[in-house]
Amino acid sequence: MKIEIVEAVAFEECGPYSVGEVADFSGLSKDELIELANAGVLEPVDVTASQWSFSAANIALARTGCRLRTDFDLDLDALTLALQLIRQIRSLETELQRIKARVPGTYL
Amino acid sequence: MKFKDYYQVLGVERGATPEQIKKAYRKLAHKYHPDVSKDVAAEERFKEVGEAYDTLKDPEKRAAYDRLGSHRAGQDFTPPPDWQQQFGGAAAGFEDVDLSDLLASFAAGARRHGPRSRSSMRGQDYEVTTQVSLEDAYHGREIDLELSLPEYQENGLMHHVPRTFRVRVPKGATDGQRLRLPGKGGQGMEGGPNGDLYLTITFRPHPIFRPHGHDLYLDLALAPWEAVLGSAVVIPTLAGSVELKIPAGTRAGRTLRLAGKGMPKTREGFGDLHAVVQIVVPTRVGERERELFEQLAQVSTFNPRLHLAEAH
Repeated sequence: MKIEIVEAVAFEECGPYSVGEVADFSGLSKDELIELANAGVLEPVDVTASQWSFSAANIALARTGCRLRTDFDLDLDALTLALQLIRQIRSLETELQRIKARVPGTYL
Repeated sequence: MKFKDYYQVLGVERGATPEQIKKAYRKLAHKYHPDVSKDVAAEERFKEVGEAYDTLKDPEKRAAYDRLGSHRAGQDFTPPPDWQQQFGGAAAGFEDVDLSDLLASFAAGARRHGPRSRSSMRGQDYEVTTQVSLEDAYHGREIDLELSLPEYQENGLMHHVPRTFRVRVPKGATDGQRLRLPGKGGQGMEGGPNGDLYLTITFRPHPIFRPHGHDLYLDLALAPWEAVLGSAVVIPTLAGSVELKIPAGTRAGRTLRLAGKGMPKTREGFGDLHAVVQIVVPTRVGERERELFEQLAQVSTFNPRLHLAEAH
């Protein structure tokens, strides 16, 4: 079988990304992204800047948001709440991974 | 072509109303959505549910699907000739087509011939997860990614085709890191660019090391006398074995840090390796060993439960 050699881009290391770029990558509209940032779900690199930009981690969350909005037909309030809860879960999962790594005899 | 019973997948009757179909989909999606459930089997189930809903929620697609008739799930069948004429357009080549691909082709065909036929469309982005070893990420090795991706063929039908991408895992990749493979997602339409393929890297469980970010943890088993007297032990790292000095009086649970012996960081430097001390005891002892332990028990003033006694 033919093997295609691909230059992969480490997504998390690129950026920051403009609101337009986050919209292109995530599928959410610019207005939705700004609303999510105003609600504190997405975090601009510099909230005082005139043009907001976002890290790649925000794009990953926005993509999840787009999936949830489409699959469950969510309005913006429900989407905001779902993403806030997902952020909390991910933060707890990271903490759990750190704790598990320290506990003898446990593998993730 | 294998028949898929989309009504059965959603658990509704063939005559179900759009509202009943939506309700059934929602119920199953809440249970199996990959952003909600971490179960791999659930993800597969969600794909089936999503595929069924994608067809049944669209009146035109549902009508096309209904015209295929009712068959047993998994049964081989060929769309009737009038169906092929009306929806498929192609006279042959249905044998190795997936039903969802066929209906997707039909929908894409409708878009092509619809009022927005001239507007180009970017291809879909795909997301896949692959497991790599810690060693792959440590050394930045290449891996082969074998996928089955949908593609439009010349006759307008969509087929899943096997593709293999050779990708280098970036040196210092961490668990959950995402890679973007530009242009390797779904085909663009009417001159639109291809979508991207997003690859999430997860680590295969390692028999020795547990990763957290760029740091690694390992269990360091010590004999009681090694912990009491101190010693030097050889431990493995991903860069080869090293000797670690154990200070006298090392307690179980203490973490000994080996700076720079963890995973490489992307730009420069390395994470740390943490050796988590466990004191292990022999389950069987010889006569002489038993004598020595008994002597130790008699002469030692050490009370490991002093803090419990003091609490009362």
